[in-house]
Amino acid sequence: MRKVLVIAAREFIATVATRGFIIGWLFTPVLITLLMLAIPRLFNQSGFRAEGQIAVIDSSGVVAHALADVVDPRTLAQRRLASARAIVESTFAAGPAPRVATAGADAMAAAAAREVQIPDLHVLVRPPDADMAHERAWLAQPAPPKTRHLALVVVHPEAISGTESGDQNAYDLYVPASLDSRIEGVIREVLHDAIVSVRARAYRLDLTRLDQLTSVRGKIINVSRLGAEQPAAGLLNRIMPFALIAFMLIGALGGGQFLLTTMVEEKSSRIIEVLLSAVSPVELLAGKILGQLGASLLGMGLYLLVAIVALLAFALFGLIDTSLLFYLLLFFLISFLVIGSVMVGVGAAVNEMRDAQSLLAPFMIALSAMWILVMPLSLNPGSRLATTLSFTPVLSSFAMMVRLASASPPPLWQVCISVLVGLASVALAIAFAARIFRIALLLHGRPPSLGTLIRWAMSP
Amino acid sequence: MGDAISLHAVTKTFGSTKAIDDLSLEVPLGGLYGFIGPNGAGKTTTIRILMSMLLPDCGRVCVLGQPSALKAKDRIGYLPEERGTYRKMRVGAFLQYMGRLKGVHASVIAHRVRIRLERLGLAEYEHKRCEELSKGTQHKVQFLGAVIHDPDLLILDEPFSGLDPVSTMQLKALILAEHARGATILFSTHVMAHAEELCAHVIMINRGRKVLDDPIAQIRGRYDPRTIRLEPLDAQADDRPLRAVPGVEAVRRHANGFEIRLAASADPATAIAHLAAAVRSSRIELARPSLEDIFIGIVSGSAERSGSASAATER
Repeated sequence: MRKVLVIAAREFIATVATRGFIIGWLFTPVLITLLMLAIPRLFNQSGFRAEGQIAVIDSSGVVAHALADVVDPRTLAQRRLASARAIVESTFAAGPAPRVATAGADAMAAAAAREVQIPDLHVLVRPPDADMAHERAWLAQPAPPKTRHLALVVVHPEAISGTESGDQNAYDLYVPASLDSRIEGVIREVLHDAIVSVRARAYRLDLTRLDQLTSVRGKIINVSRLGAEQPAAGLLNRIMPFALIAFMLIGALGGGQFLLTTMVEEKSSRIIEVLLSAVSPVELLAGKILGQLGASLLGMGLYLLVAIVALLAFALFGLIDTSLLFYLLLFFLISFLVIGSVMVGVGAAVNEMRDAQSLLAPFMIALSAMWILVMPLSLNPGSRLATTLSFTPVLSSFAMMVRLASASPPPLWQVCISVLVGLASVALAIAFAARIFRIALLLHGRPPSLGTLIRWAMSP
Repeated sequence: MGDAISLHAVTKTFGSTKAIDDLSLEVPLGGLYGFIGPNGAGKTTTIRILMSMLLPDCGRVCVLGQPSALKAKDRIGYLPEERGTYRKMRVGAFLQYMGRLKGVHASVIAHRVRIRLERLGLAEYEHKRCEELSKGTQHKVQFLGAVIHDPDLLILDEPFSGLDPVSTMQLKALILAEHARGATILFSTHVMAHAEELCAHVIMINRGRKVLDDPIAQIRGRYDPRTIRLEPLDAQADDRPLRAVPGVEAVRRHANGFEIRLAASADPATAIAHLAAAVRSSRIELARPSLEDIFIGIVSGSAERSGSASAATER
């Protein structure tokens, strides 16, 4: 055991002192945060503006004028601000600190509204008996951007009254084939608003009042385990499964990657035979895994510390079930030992990283699938998919962690089976790595095929 | 005195290739043995079996009284043929690590490493990274790593490969110093001259089989020289007086003189005296066969035998 600890200590120090570890563990979250901030800005609509002309042949006689009112830039700006505020408020409806949320919602809504440029649309009213061929030709005519011919709208006579079945079109919208779908969306939106406002007037309805009556809002308050009231953390609950999976995958895959890299390096630099003169292959394997586990736990500990400080700062720590921390540690250990053992075993069988990558491809694809699966698992933690994955070797720990962090945790017996599956996976993965260590550590030359690797692993 | 190493009827096969074939050998405690043979003879495989890095298909292994080197690793120093260091690690840290793995206590290892580096004139390298060292210095550091725990048994696999003459000489001195300290040493080489210079005993293998296992002196005695080389003062000297010397079987002229073959019954010392008197010579010497000559003789002899055997089988 002493030699295992000596190897583990060297592995730990050699890992945490590398630039790779510092970049991987400290800069990755910073990078992710920066990307999260940057990507919406890169994809935002600030460069987009709908501008041009809309010709309207209005058989109802009232929609065209209503449309002209709706596309008025001031009206549009007010509507954008109102809808942005509604989105922000719904996001933070169950927010942690109402004071902060209310103040922030106004600012965020204003900022969001500013991000989108107000359309500059002009309505050209055509007579009801206008020549359609001529109007279609107008639509196809090129024009400067500001007076571009965007659409021809033919409003049906029954657009206001509607039909009993309600399946009658209120209008026909003619647009150039090359029209930006976002512009088409804006036109449909303003048409909708114009027709609804006309209909409301026709039936003597107060739209503002109608909005108030159909809007039902509520406040959600969580009660902590100690019975104290706490503001709900809907956003936190939604983020939690993703955060936990990120913790586990970054920790286990990062550690596994270090194990793989150092193993291949040690083989190619021929230090391995020197080490084997001092320790057995199993001691070497155990020391390496233990050292990397320590490094990964250090990284995870740093992340957790930051997360806990953040939760305490927002008075949200009480919302976290502390048993989650226990499960996180347990399932992280299981996943690390499985992933680490497989990766170090493959590292021991090859001499170059590219050979390792091709052998590990199926394994890595299965693990990467967790990034995609976390969403369906957290939305439906009791589904057949979630249960199956909870009992699937390699993936069981990740799937169970998502379910435990969800609003509907699985029954205890499923957690127990998942742990047992995980422990069996650990035993198999370590046995695999130990056999590869015994057979392949001193082999150089042609890399083994996947079949050879499996044959080695099955050897007595 | 017991044996430090004992192999009995060990066989190891890789696929269809028999790397070691029924090999038995003993190295007594305190011995300095050369383990020689051409490339591919099975030396490294034998050593890896000794170190329990490979398991034999059959046969018995005993190292320092243990059935497996795993149980005596802390008493064994090993320098493999393909040796490496942690390139980014500092020399001092690397040696401390090797020492700790070999059971040296943490409280003494740092001091011991410093002292050993100073003794070898490598003190200035203690804080340098291994990758910054020249090949010769790296070899010394690797050797130091193999002996940092003062092993009872030192196994060196091709320790001189890739070294320049000066580094080779320095490494030989280090090996002899370890032997003088009391360590049993077994080193493999395909350069027979190294074994001839350092060892009192050699074990020779070829194609996985032992072909020679004797003290150097005994080998030389067994391969009693029957050839005398003579360089006459007069390059045109006649060979008839030489042929007339009693005990001379054949005389062959070559570029620098004569090669005289003696009869089995002839005494070399008497023959030399008579030959010197027969022709005035600038140099006359008994041509002692080198290990290389002996090895080539054995291998070609066994090749011939196996050739005749296969020919007989074909007939």
